Amino acid sequence: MRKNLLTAAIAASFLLSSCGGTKEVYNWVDYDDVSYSYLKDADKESMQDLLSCYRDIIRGKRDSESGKVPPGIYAEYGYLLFQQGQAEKARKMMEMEIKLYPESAIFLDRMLERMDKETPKKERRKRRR
Amino acid sequence: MKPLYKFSFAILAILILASCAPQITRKTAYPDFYDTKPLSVLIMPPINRSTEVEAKEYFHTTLHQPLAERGYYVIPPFLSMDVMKQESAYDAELFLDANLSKFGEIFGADVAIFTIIHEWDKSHLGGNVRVKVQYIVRDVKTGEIFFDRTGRIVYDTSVNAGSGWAGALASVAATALNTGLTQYVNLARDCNGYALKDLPASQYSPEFQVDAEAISGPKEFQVTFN
Repeated sequence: MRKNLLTAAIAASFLLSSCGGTKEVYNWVDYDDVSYSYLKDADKESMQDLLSCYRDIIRGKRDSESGKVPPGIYAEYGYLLFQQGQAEKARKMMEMEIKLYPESAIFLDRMLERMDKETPKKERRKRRR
Repeated sequence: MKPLYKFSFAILAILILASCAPQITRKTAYPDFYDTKPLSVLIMPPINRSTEVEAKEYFHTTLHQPLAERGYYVIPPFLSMDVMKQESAYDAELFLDANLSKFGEIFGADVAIFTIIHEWDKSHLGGNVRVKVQYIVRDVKTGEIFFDRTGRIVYDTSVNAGSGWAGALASVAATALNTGLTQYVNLARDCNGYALKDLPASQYSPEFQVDAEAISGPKEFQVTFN
C-alpha cells in the first residue's frame, strides 16, 4: 500500500514539474527532504545525510539538463564542512562555487574572510574537547 | 486501478487548471523581469502570520530548488539565513517595505523574495489542511515590486472520493499529514511549485527570455485536492 502511494506521489510530482515543458535543469537527488530533516532534527545523523546528499548532487551533476552543480550547493557543502572543522576543504568548495557562479563572489569572498578569522577559534575549541 | 488511467486523469486536471488562467503574457504581467533581467535572488526569512510556529524555518529551504530551476542564482540559503540571524535581520517583516540596498551590498543580490505565510492550518478532526502563501519579489536597488502572487492550497481529505485521481491525491495528502517529515515539505513544495511556475525565467534556464509570450497565471490562485 505504501509503495502504491509513493508511486502515485512520484507520478503526481512528475506531472506537476513537467508543466514547464522541460526536464529539470539540475539534479537535486533528494535535497529538499534531506535539508528539511537537517533543519528539523539538527542531529548527527541528519547532518551525515546532508553531507552525503551534497556529495551525491555533485557526483550526479551530469544527469541533468545543465550538467552543472546547482547554485548554492558547493557553498552550502563548504559551509557545513567548515562547521565540522574541515576549514581547508570548506575553502575549496567555496572557491568552486565562485568559479561556477561568479555572481556569488560578493557574498562568498566575505564569508571566506570571516571563516579565516574564525578558524583559530574553532581549532582552539576542538583542542579543548 | 491501472497507472495509465491515473495518469490521464491527472493530465486532464492540469489542463483544466491551466485553462482557468487569464490570457495575458508573462511579459505583460511581469515586465520588469524582462527589462532588468535579475539573476541573483536572496531568499528572505519567511514571514509567518499563521498560528503554526514551525512554518517559518521549514519554509526557508524549500524555495532554493524551485528558484534555481527557474534559472536564478540562489544565494546559498543556509549561509544567508545564518548571516541574517547574526546581523539581527531575521525578521523580514521589517524589510517588507524598507530599503533593501544593504542586502544588495552584502549578498550581491539583484532581487529579494519575501514569502508571507498567511495561513497554515491543520484541522485534526477532518484531516483538512489549508495553506495560504504570498510571494513577493522586490528589486534590491529600487525597491520596486516585480512579482506578487498569492496561492492557496487546500487538501480536503474529509470528502474521500476513494477512487480516481482525486482519491489517489487525497491518500497522498493523508499520508503527508501522518508523517511529520513529509508534511511541511510536501505542502511547501506544492505551493511553491504552483506559485513560482509563473516566475519569469532567468539566465540559467533554457526558458530565459523565451517565456515572454507564455500565458501568465492569475495573481491569486487556489488549488484544491479532495
